[in-house]
Amino acid sequence: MEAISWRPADVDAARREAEQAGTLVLVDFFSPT
Amino acid sequence: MRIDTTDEANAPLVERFRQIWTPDLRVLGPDGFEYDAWQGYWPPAEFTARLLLGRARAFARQHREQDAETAYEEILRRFPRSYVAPEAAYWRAVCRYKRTHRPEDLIGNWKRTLQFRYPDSQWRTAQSWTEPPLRQ
Repeated sequence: MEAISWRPADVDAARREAEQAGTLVLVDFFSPT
Repeated sequence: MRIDTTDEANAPLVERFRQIWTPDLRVLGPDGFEYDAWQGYWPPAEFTARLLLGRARAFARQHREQDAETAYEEILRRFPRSYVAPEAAYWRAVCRYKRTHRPEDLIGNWKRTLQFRYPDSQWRTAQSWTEPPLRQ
């Protein structure tokens, strides 16, 4: 999976996209090692 | 989507989701409702099975019983020895029963899977009211 840096507001952007697509959103909280 | 919890810009998200430890995966609906969550490292095959379980759980909780049943079935077919397989077996039977209302679809499926294939799982315990009491 490609590592992407997301801004906080992007969760809501992802939700809006999911709403249009009728899909779920997977949120992966991680800490780089 | 991935959220780096060490990035100060993501602090509001960490607070919003009451996030305390990584890895931490959440499955959200389009309305933001959290359908599933799990934490800790899962090896690749177990992770894939767990991911499928999250999807199946979301379908089930959205009352999409047929989609959920198919998703649980996929876990049992592709990852029958995975950690989450017994849970998939339990809920696959529930989803089928909710569609058909046939007791056999619930009790019979539990018996064939949980009592015989996964006898030591906690999900067998969850259906143990269907089994005769153990002799002392």
